[in-house]
Amino acid sequence: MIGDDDPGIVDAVEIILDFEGYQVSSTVNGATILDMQSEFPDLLLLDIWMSGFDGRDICRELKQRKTTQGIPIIMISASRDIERSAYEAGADDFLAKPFEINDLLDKIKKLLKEN
Amino acid sequence: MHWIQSEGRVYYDASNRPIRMLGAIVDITRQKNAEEELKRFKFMADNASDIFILMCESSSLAYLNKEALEQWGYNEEESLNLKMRDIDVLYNKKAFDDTFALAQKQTIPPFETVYKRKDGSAYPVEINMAGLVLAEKPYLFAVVRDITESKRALEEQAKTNQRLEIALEAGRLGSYELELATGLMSCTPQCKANYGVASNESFNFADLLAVILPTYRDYVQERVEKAINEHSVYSAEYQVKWPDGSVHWINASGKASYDENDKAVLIVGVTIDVTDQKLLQQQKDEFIGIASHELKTPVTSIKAYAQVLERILAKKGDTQEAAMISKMDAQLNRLTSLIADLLDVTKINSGRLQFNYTSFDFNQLIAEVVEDLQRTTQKHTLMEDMQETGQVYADKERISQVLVNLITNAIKYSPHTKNIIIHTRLVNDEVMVSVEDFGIGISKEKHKRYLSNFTV
Repeated sequence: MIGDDDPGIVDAVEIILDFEGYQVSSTVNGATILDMQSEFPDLLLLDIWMSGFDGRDICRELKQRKTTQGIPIIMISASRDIERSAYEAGADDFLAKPFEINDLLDKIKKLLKEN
Repeated sequence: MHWIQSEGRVYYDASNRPIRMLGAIVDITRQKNAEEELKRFKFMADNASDIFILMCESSSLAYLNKEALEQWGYNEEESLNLKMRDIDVLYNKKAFDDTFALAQKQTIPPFETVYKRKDGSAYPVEINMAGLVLAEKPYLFAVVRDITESKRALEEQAKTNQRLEIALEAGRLGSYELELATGLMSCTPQCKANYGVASNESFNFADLLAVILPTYRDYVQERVEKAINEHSVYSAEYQVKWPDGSVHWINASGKASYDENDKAVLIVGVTIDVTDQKLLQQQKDEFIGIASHELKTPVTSIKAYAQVLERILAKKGDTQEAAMISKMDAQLNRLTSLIADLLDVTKINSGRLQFNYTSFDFNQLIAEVVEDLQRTTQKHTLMEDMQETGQVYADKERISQVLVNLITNAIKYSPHTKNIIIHTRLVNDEVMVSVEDFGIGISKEKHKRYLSNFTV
């Protein structure tokens, strides 16, 4: 699942992941992610700046809930400086925008394998 | 030893023989001493380069030294008939009598008046007076100093000060003098205004430290001490809190002056409220920061589209098209790094550049960078001349950026030569890196601009 408030990025990443054979869902709204009750994704790509929401708060919340704490989260941000705070919020990995597709795919593969 | 004056008369008898002498003997030591005194005084006075005059109680001049005769244009004979009203343009009898009487009892503080010469020309003088008794007569002794030059210098200085004041005011510069031993400050009204203090309030070093925001206090004191120790110009930028609670940026500078023991006694300098400039600079930095951050978002999606397109084309076997998309992706990487550089400059300017320190092998990092950059050029051979450097604790990413900049510059500016050598050495526990090319080099005039922004 992809959570990013920029439709362009969501669309492009969706195409890539689809092309690579993943089933993808997406949202541009931070609240949608926290409202999930069932059908949790295998992995979450989460932007740090979501309009109205701080991705790190969402990450922290998901990692606290019993139902969702097992979902691996890759945080994405245009700012390299907040990499550390992403990890502190419980993110499993971090990717700086703009990224290389190979880096994204490698990280996804690695985390899915671990789980 | 005494001087005796003896007078007598001889008496004779009828046959004209002296029979006795009647006389008087007077001790004249005092008169003799007075004459000596007067002689000594005249000798001294005639050899002096200042004008010395002696006035009688009647205000006539008892004596003028040679210098006075020469400067005023009188001969000795004429001088005997001179009265003070002929000399002092501002003469008035009562004032003279009062001064004369007073001078016999106490010292008269120096004062200024105007004297005139024989030809009628007048000039400003400073008079030092003292009561004097010579040969038991009271006199007024005066040393007369021509102050035309010093008056002119004073006027000139006043003019200069006025010009300085206008300049200070136009530049909204406040000027101050700080006495180091006491911490007392004398400030111009503008200087006080820069700290939100009214011109009639006192403002000393302790008051200054109190209004400086706590985070800057040590910094300011350190800067001042450093300038004093190094005999250099002190300069600092700090924030102050005005009595009304508003926070302002101050740019202050100054220079110390020293006594004969090389002890700093005084700091003289200027201050200026730079809040507006700071605010603009901050807005500029913020704008660049936000703009470059915003630019990243579309670049990210363009890049993602390009990469997925490349894959699709490659899968279809359209290799030529895929290669073009790949070139486009490389250009996008250039765009990305330009945006990142722009953002870095802003961060450096605002002191917000963060470093992620790790330990890594320096030579290994160089090897990686060299390997990457060798791929970008066929004309050049990047050669390594490296000594064991061991581990360094630094921001690997940033150091790599610096190395890339140096080496790509070397490549760019040596188009007709082949070799570029990267040297590393361990010098006093520090790693020294040099990138040597055999190209056009950098002209001497540009050497001092190396470390400024946007210098290639």
